Amino acid sequence: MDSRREEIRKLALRMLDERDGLGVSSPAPLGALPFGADEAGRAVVARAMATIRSGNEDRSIPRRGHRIAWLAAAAAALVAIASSDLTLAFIQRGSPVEVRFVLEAPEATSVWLAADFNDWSPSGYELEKAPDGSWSITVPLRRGASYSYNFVIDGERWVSDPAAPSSLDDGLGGVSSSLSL
Amino acid sequence: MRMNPCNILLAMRVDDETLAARAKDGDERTFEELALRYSDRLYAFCRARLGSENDAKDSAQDALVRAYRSLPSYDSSKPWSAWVFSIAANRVKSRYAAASSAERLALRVSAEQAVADEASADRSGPEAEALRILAAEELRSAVAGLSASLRSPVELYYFAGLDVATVAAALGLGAEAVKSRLLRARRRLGRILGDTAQPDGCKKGM
Amino acid sequence: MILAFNSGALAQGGQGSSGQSEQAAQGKDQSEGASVSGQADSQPGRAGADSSPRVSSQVRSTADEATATGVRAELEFNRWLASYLAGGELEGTRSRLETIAVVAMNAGVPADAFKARIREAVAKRATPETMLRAIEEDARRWIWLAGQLDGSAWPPGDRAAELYLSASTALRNGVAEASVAGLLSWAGDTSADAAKAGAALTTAASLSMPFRDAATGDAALTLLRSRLRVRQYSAVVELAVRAQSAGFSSRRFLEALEATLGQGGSLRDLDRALFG
Repeated sequence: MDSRREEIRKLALRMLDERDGLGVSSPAPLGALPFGADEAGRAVVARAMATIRSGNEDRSIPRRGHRIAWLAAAAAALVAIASSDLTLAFIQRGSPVEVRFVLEAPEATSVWLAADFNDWSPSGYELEKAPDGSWSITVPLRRGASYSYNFVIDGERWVSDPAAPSSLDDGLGGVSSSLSL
Repeated sequence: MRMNPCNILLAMRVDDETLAARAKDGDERTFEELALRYSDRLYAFCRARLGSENDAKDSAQDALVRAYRSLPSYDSSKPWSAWVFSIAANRVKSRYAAASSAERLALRVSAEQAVADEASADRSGPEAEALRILAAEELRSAVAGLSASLRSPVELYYFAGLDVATVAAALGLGAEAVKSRLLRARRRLGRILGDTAQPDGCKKGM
Repeated sequence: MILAFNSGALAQGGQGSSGQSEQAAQGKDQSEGASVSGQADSQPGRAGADSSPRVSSQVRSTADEATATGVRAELEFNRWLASYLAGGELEGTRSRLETIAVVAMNAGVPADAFKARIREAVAKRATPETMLRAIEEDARRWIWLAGQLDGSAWPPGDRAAELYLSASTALRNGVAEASVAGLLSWAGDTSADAAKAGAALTTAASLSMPFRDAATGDAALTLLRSRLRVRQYSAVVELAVRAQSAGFSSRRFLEALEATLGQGGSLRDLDRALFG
């Protein structure tokens, strides 16, 4: 088994070499890509176009398979992140630190921040929606401590922060994200 | 294929940026054509990060829908492929991050187990194809261990197969910076994949 | 560690006392004595009864005060609980929560820790069963924690609840009791920053997540003793995730952590030790 494993790894390295061999200035043909043979492109475009054409109103696409696929993508979009780095942008103005919480949830009608620093009561901590569908709020927090928090979408869906590197069991059946300042 | 005036132009392939400019005006069919040029690569790119075909299809589809809706902000003096891949990179990043650590671990363990199972099974049939699939999984696994700054150019260059100039434009870096990162990454991957003697039991499907 | 939350446990609670409750426990004993001398004092002109009236009255008032403080704290908590749960779905849990809390508070657990968790449970719309299970588990851990802190002046009162909450989070998420105990001991000895200690505990919990065997070793103490600032703790977690992806075991990661951060090294040293 080990020699076969070794064979597989050598092949993996050869695949990298093959790509290099084609030159940096050229795109590599699909056949040369590790996952290029799946030929999923057509199906992907078909579903994308169906979504685009159905516009903003109806979220249910007739065929069951498509709807499930769309919901999966939408669910992902709901907890996706806008910024390319972390969710939290640190705008330092001395102490305490201003922390910006961001959540991308273009389909949400409201997003609140619930955390140990606001007694888990979201009122007064409503995020503001930006034109690109991302929500954000800036909160002053003391440095040198760690905090637990969640986002609450549409007043009822509690989610952790996908961009935070740690999320911990809250003992109440869910998880909270952890932030160390 | 239905005959339409566009087919006449097939011989003169319209470049991406021109198509994108037309699509900006809301021409869905033009966007579709543009999307088809890159959808396989987009899928391959997402598949490399996410490890599941369905997730990859969802993310690639997601990226295209977002690309369409964000067309107004696309600057046609920049390569369209770079732009759509930077959108895909964000979608994939968020999908990747959306899996909790436990899920990520489960994915990795099941991938390793799949490789281990395959390696121990007595397989007949298209051996080369099976090996390639397994090798792709190994690559995916190894790349996951790279830092974010090395992972992105690797995925765009090796998994999506884009040329360095496009990779650079997608990441907002210079071409030389991309090449240097690719080189470092390649060395690191060589070590990860070349090092078959793992001292701890982690690789044995722990 | 199993504790029964009944009247018998009150005695146990007294044994595991610390800080305020230590005074309260002493106060209980002394107040009995004090009340005797108090009775004596209240009879003016009785020779010998007031041999050192100022000392005994000082002791008595301190003890009484401590007891009174403890009782006040319990009353205040009960009032708060009644008001907070009134009319809500979790109102039925009130009496059980009071029972749990009074034992724990007697052991030295700060009321604010309970309040925080109860608020969290209400906000997250936990069912009564879920909430009670969570609070009972927390209380067990907190009582154990109070025992660890027995006799220590650390942490300062206003930072205590925060530390208790971080510790129960860490214990719930895989950090071993021995590890927490080690950290508390060192932190108390060095009067470490309590918030930082709490952050080290929750970060150690996060470090266990990527690895299947979830052993955190002494990561919490290593972090706390390191030269890292709290805002760098997240980067350590990210390194753990990468290490796991690259096939490292938790043991190897922890060894690297100890060999670098544990010896005064930097994040870069850890990165290099892991990934070259």
